[in-house]
Amino acid sequence: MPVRMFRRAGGFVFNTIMAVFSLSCIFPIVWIAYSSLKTKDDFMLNSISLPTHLQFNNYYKAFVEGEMYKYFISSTLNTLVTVVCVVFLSFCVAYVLSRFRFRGRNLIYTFFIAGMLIPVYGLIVPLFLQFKIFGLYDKFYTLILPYIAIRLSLPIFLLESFIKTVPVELDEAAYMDGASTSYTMTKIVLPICKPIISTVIILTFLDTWNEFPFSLVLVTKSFLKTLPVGLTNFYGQYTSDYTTLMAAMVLSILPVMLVYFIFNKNIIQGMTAGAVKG
Amino acid sequence: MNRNYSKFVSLLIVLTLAVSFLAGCGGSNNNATKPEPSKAAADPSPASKSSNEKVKVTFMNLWAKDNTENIATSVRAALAKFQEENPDIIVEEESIGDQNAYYTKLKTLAASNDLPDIFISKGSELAMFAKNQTVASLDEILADDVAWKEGFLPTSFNDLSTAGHIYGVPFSMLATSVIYYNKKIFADAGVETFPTTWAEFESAIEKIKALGITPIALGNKEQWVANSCVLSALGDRFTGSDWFTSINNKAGAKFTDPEFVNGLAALQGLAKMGAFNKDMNSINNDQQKTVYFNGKAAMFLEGSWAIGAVMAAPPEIAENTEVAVFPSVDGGKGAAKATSGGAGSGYAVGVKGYATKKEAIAKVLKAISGAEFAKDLAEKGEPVAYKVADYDKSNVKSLAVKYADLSAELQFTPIYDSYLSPALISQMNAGLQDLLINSVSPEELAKRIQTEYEKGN
Amino acid sequence: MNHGNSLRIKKSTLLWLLVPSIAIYTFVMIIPLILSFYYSLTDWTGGPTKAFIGFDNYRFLMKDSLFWESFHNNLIILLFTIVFQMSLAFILTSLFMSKAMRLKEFHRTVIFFPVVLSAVVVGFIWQMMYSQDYGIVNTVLKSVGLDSYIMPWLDDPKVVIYAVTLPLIWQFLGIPMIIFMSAVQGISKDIYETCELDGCTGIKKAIYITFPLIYDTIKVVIMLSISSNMLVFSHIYVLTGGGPGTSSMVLAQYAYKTSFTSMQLGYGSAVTIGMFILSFGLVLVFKWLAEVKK
Repeated sequence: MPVRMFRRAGGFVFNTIMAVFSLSCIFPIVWIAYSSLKTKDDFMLNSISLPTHLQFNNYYKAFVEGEMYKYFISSTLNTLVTVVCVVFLSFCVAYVLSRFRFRGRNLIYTFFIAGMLIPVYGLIVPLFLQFKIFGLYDKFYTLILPYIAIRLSLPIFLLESFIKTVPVELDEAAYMDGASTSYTMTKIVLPICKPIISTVIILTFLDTWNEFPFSLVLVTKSFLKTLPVGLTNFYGQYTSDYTTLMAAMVLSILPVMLVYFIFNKNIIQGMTAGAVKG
Repeated sequence: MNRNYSKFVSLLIVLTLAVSFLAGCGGSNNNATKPEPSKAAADPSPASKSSNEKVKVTFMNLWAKDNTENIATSVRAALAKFQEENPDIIVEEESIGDQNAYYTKLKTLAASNDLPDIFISKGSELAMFAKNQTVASLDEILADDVAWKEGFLPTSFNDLSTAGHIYGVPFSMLATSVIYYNKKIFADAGVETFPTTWAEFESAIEKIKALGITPIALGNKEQWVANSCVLSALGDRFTGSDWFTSINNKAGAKFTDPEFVNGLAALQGLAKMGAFNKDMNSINNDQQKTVYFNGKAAMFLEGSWAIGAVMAAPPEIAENTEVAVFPSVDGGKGAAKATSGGAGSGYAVGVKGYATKKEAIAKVLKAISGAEFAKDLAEKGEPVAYKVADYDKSNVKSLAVKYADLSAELQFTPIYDSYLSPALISQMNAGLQDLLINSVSPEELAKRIQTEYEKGN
Repeated sequence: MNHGNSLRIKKSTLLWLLVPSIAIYTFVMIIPLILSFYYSLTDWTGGPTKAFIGFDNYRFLMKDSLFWESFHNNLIILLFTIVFQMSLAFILTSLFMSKAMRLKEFHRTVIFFPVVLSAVVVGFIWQMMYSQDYGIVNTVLKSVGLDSYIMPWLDDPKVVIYAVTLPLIWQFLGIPMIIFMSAVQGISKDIYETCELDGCTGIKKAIYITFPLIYDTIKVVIMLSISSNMLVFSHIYVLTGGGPGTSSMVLAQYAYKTSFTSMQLGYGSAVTIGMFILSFGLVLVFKWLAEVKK
């Protein structure tokens, strides 16, 4: 009996420490969330205390007066299209790279992976010139192209290594039965890749949702601009109105949170083989 | 398969190179073959076209759509009126409220010679654009309407001219360095009037410190505050404006001259004696005001644009706030009744737009800078760049009146970052942060700035 | 590993699967990179002419102390991230295997959560955390009586680079953790059971079994860490703007500053390319080291 009690006590202490650790990880966000419900003066008085009475005025200020709602539409459209395209394109490339041997295979792999090392700000001026020359500047589809391209590298990297761990015999059997490549890809391999695709969706979604420099430079019309650019207007004006700023931030991360909680369950299995074997 | 594949790869490489080549040269061609502004302007055909077709004039500015600053509301009001009166001209606004983001976009546009028809720019950036021939000289449209040109304060074009040409139309006249101080805190510390000598100033700071209050709130995270709002004015006390004129004309003055070094030393002296808050390099200029508004600081230094914010502050702060400029310094060559100021920024015009729609642009410019606009702005208590004879002063708030009284007896000295090249300013600004935390000596910093200055020669 | 397989694919299908991605990627990433390289060989300052000056910019870059200081800062950030983030992630992974641990799903979700935040939000949060007057860090220090440690964390040039690294470690802790955890799931349970029979404790299991078996995974995580930490920009830009002075300047910001503040586009491109080469070099060096070690 004493041994078990000792164990239990140990377990309790251990779990408490874990809980404290986890909470300290998420505390900054919780802090922002509850501070956004305080008045500015309350916050200045004591930055760490809980709000005495909830007030949603900051949210109204951010969403309506700060006109954040305008940018939500463009951000949502761009992000959704980008996520769909990235998943589709990176799956195609990753499938080919992991399943077939052909000359230049390694070159193409390196070619895509190198994208993870390219600094985006270095591309802005030349990319702007290209977009001007080809008449792609300031159109409704302008942002989608660069958004897809800068997001391709990591998904290809993750998917390629994941597919490698999927037994190749599955494909072979399918081909033997006379299945086409597209059938094998979509009906045999794709379902197995679901978990890693969840990961890709989360990462692509959040990167695209938060993208700033391209949206700043490549579009001019205000309805084409995305949320991060809209937010700079807002930040500039409310720099020291901390609680309203926090409300705006909470609003801007809600969609990403939503996506995270939808796909979160799969993420672990997704990463499993995705990065393990490299 | 392999052969086909290598074919495909080589095709791809050729395509890549072709497109790179096209884009690379396209960029330089755009710039190189761009018509001389004056020649293109003489071409009458676009003007005749504009009479029956709608002309679009793009206007890029720094004022977010919901900006409530006086300047923004006055410009928007003037534009709305203009649109009513000129249905054939459509002004398309793009507003980016964040300075850094704004200038990032502006410079990208400049690099591909694609500047908007009208945009706001600081003097130093404008000089650079002028050198690169991406902005149009406005000499001609100003000369075409003498009444308009003569209406501006004579010095207001200084910040916006380079090499004898005017490149920008001013919309306001700012002091960039005004000391806003809380007279109640000063009185509590036993300082009844604002110090008139440097020694008195230092002793006032000591007394305020003794109260446990930060003497001067400084928010220099974005690095321009210490330069524009402090050093431009303080440095001039030591060097006098002739020194800066000589620097600007590359006529012999050096940043290592003892007068300028003394100015840097005075700034560092303030930091050393604890005149500023400790986190001065990690908060920004809005946050420095917050410190002051919370009664935790006795002074802050910012341009005349902060008047509106102070008036909107809690009443016990707003009512006790007075304005002043730096006291005189011993052995300084600069005038005592002076502070750094000027137009600072102005409306500039991209060459491409100028070449095809000069008349329309000129019309818009007049609407957002001329007499009517200036009167509207002046009635809100803002300092204007245009002579406004009589206007309704009833709405001008008390602090703006105090500022007007102060500025009436001031002369404006050059704002450093309106004239010096952006590269030099960027070096100087980073150095000032080092200076404030005592990690570089004034002499060493002066040497660094001088080296960068000589590089630009 | 699949290279011995018997799969065959029609050339046309192969091309159809690859071409769209290659085309978009080339247009958006590769051509601008080539153009950037071309600019870096000129003295372009945004004007109508760019004079070809060969490798002068690179020669200057070699002697540019600010460039190397920035690189040095990147290395500090990289080193600290690898050491602290990885060991923390590894410890957490080992703990997660313990049967005594409750609410695993909750802990995992929460620890990974900061990953989804944007750099601007993270920068703002930590600016507030470090704030002299309202900051949590100083408030906590005060409440536990460590008043002497209270300082403006972002204003001391000796401390600032570590102060800006902490948010990076915090935010991305979830990534190596999740990767390690899934790698561990791939290890056969039998191995651990055998080991337990031999009397292995948790710590020994972690060192003698988990670590060697996920060694390959650790390599991958380090690679990802190199790529993201060499490009780090927005976090630090929001937190300090590179200051005080240049003490928290990193390569990406230096490239941004030369190109967009000073408009020295030729030199700025050289900084960009230099940075790309250094990152690539680091990856190669690391790959080589990792192979040799094995």
